[in-house]
Amino acid sequence: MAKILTVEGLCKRYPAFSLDSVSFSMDEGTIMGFIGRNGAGKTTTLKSILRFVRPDAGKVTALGLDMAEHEREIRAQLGFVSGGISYYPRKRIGELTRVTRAFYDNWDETLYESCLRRFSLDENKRVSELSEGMKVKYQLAVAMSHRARLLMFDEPTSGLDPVSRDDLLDLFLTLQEEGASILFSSHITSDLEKCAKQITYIRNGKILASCPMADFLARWRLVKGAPEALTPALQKTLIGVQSHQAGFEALAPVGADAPGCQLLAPTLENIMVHLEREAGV
Amino acid sequence: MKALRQKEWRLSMSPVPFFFLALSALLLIPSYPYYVTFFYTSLGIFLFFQASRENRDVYYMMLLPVGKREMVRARVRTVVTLECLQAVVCVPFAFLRAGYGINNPVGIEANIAFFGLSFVLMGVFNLVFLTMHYKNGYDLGKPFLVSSIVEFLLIGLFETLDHIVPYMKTVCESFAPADLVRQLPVLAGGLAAYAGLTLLACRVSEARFEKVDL
Repeated sequence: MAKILTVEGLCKRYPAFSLDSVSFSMDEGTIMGFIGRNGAGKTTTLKSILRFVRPDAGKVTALGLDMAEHEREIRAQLGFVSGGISYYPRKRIGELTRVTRAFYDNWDETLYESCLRRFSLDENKRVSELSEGMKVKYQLAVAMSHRARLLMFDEPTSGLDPVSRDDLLDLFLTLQEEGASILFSSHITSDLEKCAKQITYIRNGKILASCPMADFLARWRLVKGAPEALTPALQKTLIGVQSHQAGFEALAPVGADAPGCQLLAPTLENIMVHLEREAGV
Repeated sequence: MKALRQKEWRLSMSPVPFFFLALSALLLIPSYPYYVTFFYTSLGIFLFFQASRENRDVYYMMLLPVGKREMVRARVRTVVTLECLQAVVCVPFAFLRAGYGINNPVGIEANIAFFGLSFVLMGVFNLVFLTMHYKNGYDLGKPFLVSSIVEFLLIGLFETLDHIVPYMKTVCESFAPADLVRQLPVLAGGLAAYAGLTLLACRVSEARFEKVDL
């Protein structure tokens, strides 16, 4: 399958944090979840891809073009939606759109109007009057109206109530069926499980995994057992052991032997919690 | 680029700089340090930048297919338009002031030389304020404070030169038609300095903002 986005060896050094040779690629027409805890480097990676942050090293190829050389062309075909950020709060969204559409040669006004109806957006509302979910939907309407082929969302579901989150995730699935490619960052694992087909997991600025979601889940087993089952030998094979009164819970690579314990299929949250616990971050 | 220029006026512009354009009428005050009129221009520009920051203009532009250099260039163009507008709006008031038939006892006359030196003043403001602001695209207070100090020092220098340089003392302190013609080199020099300083301000600001991590 053709790659819509390829990131190779992206590095960015800050005094207290570094992106360390971040590499991953994304298939066209898929939804990729970009997962990691707060401060892991998700936003820095997305901003580096878009060159809002200048990477120290690395190469980004999007829509078949080199980002460093074709930034403008790529960004004209790309939609970036950032949750929790609003701009021009006192402007009506109709005024914003009238200015924004002039930036896109391929702006489709009919499609924009249908997006407004689809998302129940009122052009006369001021940005400050929109809920967080509606702000995300407005940005999405703009991205769809210039026929963005790649949609990048930075924490789009943070700040949304569960119903709005669910609505947005349904919308992602619909957009994917319509041919869009979606990369969205989140630390809310249940959101990713619902719609992401591929997953890229970042921890402390390093990519830990980037693969199909099913493959990622299949790598691990959730181990549960009584306190006495936690022998020193077993402890060496377990990852992120969490002891509690009734026993312990940990992660183990698939195929690992854990006598006297329950081996269960883990959720994304189980994997993330135990991997992060093991890393002690 | 055209879309970005339109954005500057239709979305980013606040009414404040237009209020300061009206302060061109300060030239009607018989006894006034007229350079201060152009200090108000820079105050209007500072408040315009502040309004843009409050509206998170950069976050809006991040979503658009424009580079950081283009963002700076469009903003510098807006600043130049405001400054030139201020000069243009000052012209009829300068004519009215000339009709009083009395000299300004506290500073330069509102004549051609005054416009030339005012352009130098605005060019220096652009160089200091814009290049300091675009170091991170956020700071405004310190750039405005430093540029204001530099502006007032320059105003002090111009007014001093007005009293000690013979050409300025005689030719530049006059409304006589022959003297106005002899003031034209000051206007030409002022415009050239303004263009050079603003171009330099734009290039340095672009290079600095390009390195900023948003």
